[in-house]
Amino acid sequence: MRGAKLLQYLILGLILVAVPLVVRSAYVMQILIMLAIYGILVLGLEIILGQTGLFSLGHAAFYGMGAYTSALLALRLGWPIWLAMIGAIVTSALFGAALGFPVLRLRGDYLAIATLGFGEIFRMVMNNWNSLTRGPMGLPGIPRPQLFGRPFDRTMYYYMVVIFFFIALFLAFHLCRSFLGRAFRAIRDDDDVAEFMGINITKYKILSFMIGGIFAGLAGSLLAHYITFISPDTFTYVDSEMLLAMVFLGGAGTVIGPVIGAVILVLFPEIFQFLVQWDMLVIGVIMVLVMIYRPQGIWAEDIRWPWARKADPALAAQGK
Amino acid sequence: MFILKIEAACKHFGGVRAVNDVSADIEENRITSIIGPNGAGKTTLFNLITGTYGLSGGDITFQGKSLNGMAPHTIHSLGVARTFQNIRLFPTMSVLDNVMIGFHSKLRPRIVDLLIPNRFRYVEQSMKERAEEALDLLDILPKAGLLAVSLPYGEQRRVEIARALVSDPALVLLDEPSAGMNVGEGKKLMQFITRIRDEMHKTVIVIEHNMRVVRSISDRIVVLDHGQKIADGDPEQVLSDARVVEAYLGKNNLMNYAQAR
Repeated sequence: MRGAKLLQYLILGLILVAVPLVVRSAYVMQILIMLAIYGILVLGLEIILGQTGLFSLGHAAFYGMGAYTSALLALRLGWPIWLAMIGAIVTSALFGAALGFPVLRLRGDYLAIATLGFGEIFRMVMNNWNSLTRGPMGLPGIPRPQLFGRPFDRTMYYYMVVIFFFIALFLAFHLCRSFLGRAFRAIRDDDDVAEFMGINITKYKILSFMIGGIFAGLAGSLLAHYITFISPDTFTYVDSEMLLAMVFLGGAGTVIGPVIGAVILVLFPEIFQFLVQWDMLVIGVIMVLVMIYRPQGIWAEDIRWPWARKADPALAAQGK
Repeated sequence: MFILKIEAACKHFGGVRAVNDVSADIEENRITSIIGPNGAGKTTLFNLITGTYGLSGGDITFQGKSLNGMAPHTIHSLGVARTFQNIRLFPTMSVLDNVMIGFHSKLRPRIVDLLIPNRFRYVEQSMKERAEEALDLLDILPKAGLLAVSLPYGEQRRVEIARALVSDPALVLLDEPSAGMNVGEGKKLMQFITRIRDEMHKTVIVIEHNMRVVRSISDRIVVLDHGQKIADGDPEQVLSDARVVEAYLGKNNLMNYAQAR
């Protein structure tokens, strides 16, 4: 059993390593890089929303915070990119905590509105703080990371984001299997009872926002140094909404689900380009259908594979 | 030795005096039952002890520390654990996970423990072992892997009690533990509650409507009615008290009924 799993990982790894050697299309490589970045981003939202049940409509702001911090540190202060990345992660985490404090008393709809406001404030500040962010003109010429004096080409960048993605995936899995994930889920299920059972819900909610911020900060930084140009339009409410759709489509509360949601929603407009401006309409219909027929998301825990043996309820309860 | 002192505790919701000037000192290693008609303020009193809301007046001290103004999780870590009148298990979590949550605050895991493999294994392992012990005590260990809400009602109650006991609290508050149980289950539960006192040496406060349960397990009974304490003492004495009978059966109604005949 263990051997079989190891073999699966090995095969997956080999495929991922081989992709840039086989695929020559810059377009496909670009999509794969964006997929990995969105994967990291959505894992952060999974921890906030899927695990802790905090309805955040401002996730794009954390993403943008990471991108802007990293870009500004590299451009204005000339920090090495790796340091700028760490700076981006720390800043996003701190903003997660800063957002956590005032909105902790809010629940459900009110929290959603407050985080929505936070997202808008972020965008407005980036849009209007001309001296720092050049406002709507955006920040061009963000440096690419270098290795031995050579800037990363697309292939190198692909390897880097894929490695980061798998580190993020591993961390998310590890966290969700741990006492921390259990505490998060207890808060999601019933925060009053969680508090009676000794969980400091204030601390863990802030922590959840911080961890979500860390993932988003990393994703934002990776984005900034890849496309080398960012503007406030990259991080709007629509992006937060899209991330939310990814989590729900794939299955909130599962770790893999939101990643699958991200894959679907990133690939869809690319594959169905012939739909032109109708693609959002089709995505909307798909979302409605999924919410009606499979409200728990595509990759929910009770998923029954046609080739799987009869579902064992004991395993179903334990499996994450 | 008094483990819990309730001194003139009051809780008013607007004009409603849910708990009004209730005093009671709870002795260590005893089973105290709180009884009273619906709406008498029994659960409100539990909520005051566990910190759901602050007191409107008076004070509650546990092992000499005032609980007034403390957050529920702090009170839990001092050693007060409870169950709920309406079962409130974490619905998406397994029985084992539900009980493991109860041990979280005892272990106080730090975030860095996630990144140190040895610490991580130790934390998870000890949580799991303690939870399994607690489940074993309540004879539901075989169901550990199932979703908590998929169990029958009586077993869910037992999971709740396991979740309360896993943190090894000095004081256990049980809110209508026998509700929804059949006669056999109820009997076993009574025996178990006396075991909590005799073998685990804990103090238990029980809210209970089933008089047979109350009479057989209580060392002492406190009766509430309309937010006020109307009787307090050993079971036989309290249950024969005219005021208690009146609160339960409604003297006037009974007399009206008799007159109408």
